[in-house]
Amino acid sequence: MMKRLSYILMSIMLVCSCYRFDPSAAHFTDGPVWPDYMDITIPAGIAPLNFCYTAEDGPIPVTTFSHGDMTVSIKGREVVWKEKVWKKMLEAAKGGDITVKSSVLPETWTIHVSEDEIDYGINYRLIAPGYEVYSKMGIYERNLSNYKERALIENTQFDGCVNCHAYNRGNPADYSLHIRGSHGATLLNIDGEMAAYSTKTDSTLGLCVYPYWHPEGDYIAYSSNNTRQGFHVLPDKLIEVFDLDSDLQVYDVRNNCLISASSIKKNDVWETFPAFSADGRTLYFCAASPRPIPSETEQIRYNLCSVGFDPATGSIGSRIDTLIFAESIGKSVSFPKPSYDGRFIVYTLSDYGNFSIWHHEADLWILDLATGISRPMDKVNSHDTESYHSWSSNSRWLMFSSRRDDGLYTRPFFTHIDEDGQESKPFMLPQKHPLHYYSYQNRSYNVPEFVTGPVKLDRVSAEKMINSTERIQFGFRMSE
Amino acid sequence: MTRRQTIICSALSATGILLAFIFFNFIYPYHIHYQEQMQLFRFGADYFRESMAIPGGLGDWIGGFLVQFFYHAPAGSLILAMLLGLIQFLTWKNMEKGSFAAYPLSFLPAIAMFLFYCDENALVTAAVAMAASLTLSSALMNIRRTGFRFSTTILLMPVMYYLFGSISIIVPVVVGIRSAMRKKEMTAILAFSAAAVLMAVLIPFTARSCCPYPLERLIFGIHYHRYHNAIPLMVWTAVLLVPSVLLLAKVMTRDKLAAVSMALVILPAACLTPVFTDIEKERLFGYDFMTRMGQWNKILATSDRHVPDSPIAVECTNLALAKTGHMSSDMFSFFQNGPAGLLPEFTRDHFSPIPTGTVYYHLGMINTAQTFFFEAQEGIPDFQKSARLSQALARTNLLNSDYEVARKYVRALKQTLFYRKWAKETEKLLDNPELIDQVPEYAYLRSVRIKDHDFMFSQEEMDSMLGLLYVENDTNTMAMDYLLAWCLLRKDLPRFFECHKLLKKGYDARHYQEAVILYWALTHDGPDGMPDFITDRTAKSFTRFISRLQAGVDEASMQKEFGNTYWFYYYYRFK
Repeated sequence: MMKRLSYILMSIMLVCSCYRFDPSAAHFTDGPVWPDYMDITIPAGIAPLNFCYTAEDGPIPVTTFSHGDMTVSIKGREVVWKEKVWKKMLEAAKGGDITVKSSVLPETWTIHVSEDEIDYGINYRLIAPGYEVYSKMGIYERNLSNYKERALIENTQFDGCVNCHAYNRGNPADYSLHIRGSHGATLLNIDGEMAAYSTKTDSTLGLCVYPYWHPEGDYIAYSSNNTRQGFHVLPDKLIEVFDLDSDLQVYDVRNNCLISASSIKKNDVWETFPAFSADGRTLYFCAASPRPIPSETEQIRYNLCSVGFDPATGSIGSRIDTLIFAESIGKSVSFPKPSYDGRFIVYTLSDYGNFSIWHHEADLWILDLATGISRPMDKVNSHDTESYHSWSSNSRWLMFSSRRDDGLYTRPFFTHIDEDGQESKPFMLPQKHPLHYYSYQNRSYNVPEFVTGPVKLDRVSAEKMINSTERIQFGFRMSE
Repeated sequence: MTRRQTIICSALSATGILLAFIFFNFIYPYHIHYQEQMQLFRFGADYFRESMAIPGGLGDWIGGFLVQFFYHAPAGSLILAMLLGLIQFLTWKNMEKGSFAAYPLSFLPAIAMFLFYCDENALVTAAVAMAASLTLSSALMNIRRTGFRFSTTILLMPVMYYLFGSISIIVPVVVGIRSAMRKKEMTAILAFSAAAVLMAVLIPFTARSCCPYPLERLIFGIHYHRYHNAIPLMVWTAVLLVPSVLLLAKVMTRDKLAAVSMALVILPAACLTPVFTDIEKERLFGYDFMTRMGQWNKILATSDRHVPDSPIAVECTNLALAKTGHMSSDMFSFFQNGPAGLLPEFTRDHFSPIPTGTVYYHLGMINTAQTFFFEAQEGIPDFQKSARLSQALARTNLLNSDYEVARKYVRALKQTLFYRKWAKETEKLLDNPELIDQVPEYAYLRSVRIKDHDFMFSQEEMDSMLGLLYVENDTNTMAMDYLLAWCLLRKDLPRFFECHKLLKKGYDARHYQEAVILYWALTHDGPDGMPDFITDRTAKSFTRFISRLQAGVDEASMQKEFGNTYWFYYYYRFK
């Protein structure tokens, strides 16, 4: 009897553990394949770009990839590469094109393999795109050359949530990681040493969030935001996230001290999203004039501004320059991210406010710092939200989050940016079985950031630190 | 044991299973439903892989598999009863030469587990893990060569920990005790014990390095209780009882002691069951279940029998009144204590937002309902998803025309046993959105929801939101019922009077008459100009109420005579 029961149980488990490709899930697109990997530019080190045909019936497609003498044919509605073959083809095609032909499609398309390398991997938070309460979430790391993902830290280890993770130009050795909740802390890993900090001081508005590292690693710019949420009643909008107040400050890593200045701590200005320039001598940020909330929420508009910063003394300038006067065109800027080569700033432009992820109209724009010309990144923007973005360490790849497929679940996309700032058609983060994976993934990719190597985060030590009450208190001083 | 004794023992086991079934099916059925709605068991590789990623994963997977049948309370009750019966049987099987007198003792771990399952957050995984561990212990004892038995046990410890979690510590304990009882090779037993202790310490520490959970959870079990901060004491009591009864059985060899061991079983079971049983909670889960199923008359009948005094019970009663069209005439026949019993504020937990979300759903406030359902699902303490809430979220997203998001929920529900049919039907609607309006529920809700005026949900401006719902679509009479009830419960008579004027029909309902005449009396010197829908009966009753009030008649007498009127609420409740 027990034997029979065991057999039944084993059979059930076997049935349950088999992967089955189901093309009926491909409702994200009207195109013939999903993800849309047609006519894209990719780095040579990327994991195989498996995709599937969206047609549920008809003859079984044969997809032929060719470059020079090398030809690979894959039969099936789901095109799944062998990793070794893929790597070989990419290595051969580096700097050139792979031509793709399908037995069921009239068109031929190409995949350009760029010579510009992409970083080792990406870090992101996975969280259900919701309101105030959160279920399981954490910070995860994905190796871009394969499909391996690992959890760096998860909220199964403590009560609270993790967010605001930042690395210095993708350097996995220096990071700032913020924990919210009853065990709230900011974990800073500097020169291989991790410690838990309390970032709120009597002289600042609140906890330090939205970190951005100074290129030399001696400073981290933060903002402090008094953030609230509101919930719309009309169907096409769900959530509005807004600040009731916000200020900026720069953390002096070596002297454990927050530095502020009257120029970035104004009562009549909300400053947020700080970012250092490539040379570390300018601090970019978004600034808006306060408006009554909720009655004038839709009139809150952030401009892109900058202020000088002297890394030698840690002093913040007094003159504020406005780079993008978005208010004048009835728009609002968020997430300014300068490229590390100092050539461009990519930012998100939406109708109002600063939490663009909940704005369907939000798009990415690029500002050429040499010419001062700003333009929408038409090749990467879609009918739905494009929001958070991050530069690769060589400034040739931009990763951005988009809700283009279902309007809610954020997924990472990559685009190549050439020396003139021209973007290529983006491609989605590859998965072994992308249709299945993204169809059943019920968490969003939040704040995706490039990393140049595996992050060394000792999960057990981090857990001990978070669960203890010991915190190093940030100091504070005003800039000279 | 004699044949007669064997029959008695079998009868005892059957009685135990029957009693457990009766308890869960007839006293605790809504606890069973509650358990079912706190998980989303899916047939598929992903779910299986997710489950197996952490220690105790197989136990959790099997537990989840069983709990899906809790969709039907009798099935759930039977499963729980059978699991408890299995634990008792396996405890008995593990007794070395168990006697008739010792047989009742084998019930003790099962009784501890039964008490554990009086807690709605006790997970079935624990019983599965216990049954699996006892089965393995029994199987290992069939190995005759002591050394081979011991080494196999030690080798299986990490495997069992990985599959069923820390309850599997039972295995080396039982093997050790039973081997010692056989009095063979005591040196080997001592060596085995030392190795088992070492493994028991090493395993959770090793697990910690690859599993993102705090050490105490890896020691006390990840999947045994829904709240990760709670140490499931009754589970560990049951675990401790296993070796205890094995040792006790050794001395309970004489048949005369059967009465003693029966007493050892019956006394704690009889005394502790009422202590562990929470009938108030059962009633609360009952309200939620009936609301989910739309059993409006059953809700009202329940509220007639037991005064609904918790906000959720009152909230469900009020919804039932509105859905049956009796809110304006019978609302104050039931206990009311302020607007929190109508539309409670959001609280960050996994249960209370569900009935509130259901109210908003029926009102046509789809986004708000979605917020409440989503938050409830995210708030499930053991990070599970909920089949019921996924279904609710699929509906709200479908109503919002967010078809791809709705499809995500539908896709998951298609992998379930009991929601699959619904999911497939809903998928057809998503494939052909023009069919959605042919479903009366969806067509109605789409017609009554707010379409023109956007605003941010605010509990403080509830009256404005409800008013707007009615203004945009005057067929949404439930919104008007709620608006007027909101004003009445807040004792905001001027606002009530203002909103009442918007009513085109039903304005002369009993409570409305009571409120209007009260407002008139408070703001006018005489009855001249009073709305003519006030009946003589209401006027006379009001005169009598006021005269008694002025005469200082005590509250109990006033309640007896006027307890079902708005006037009584106005003067004696929600102060």
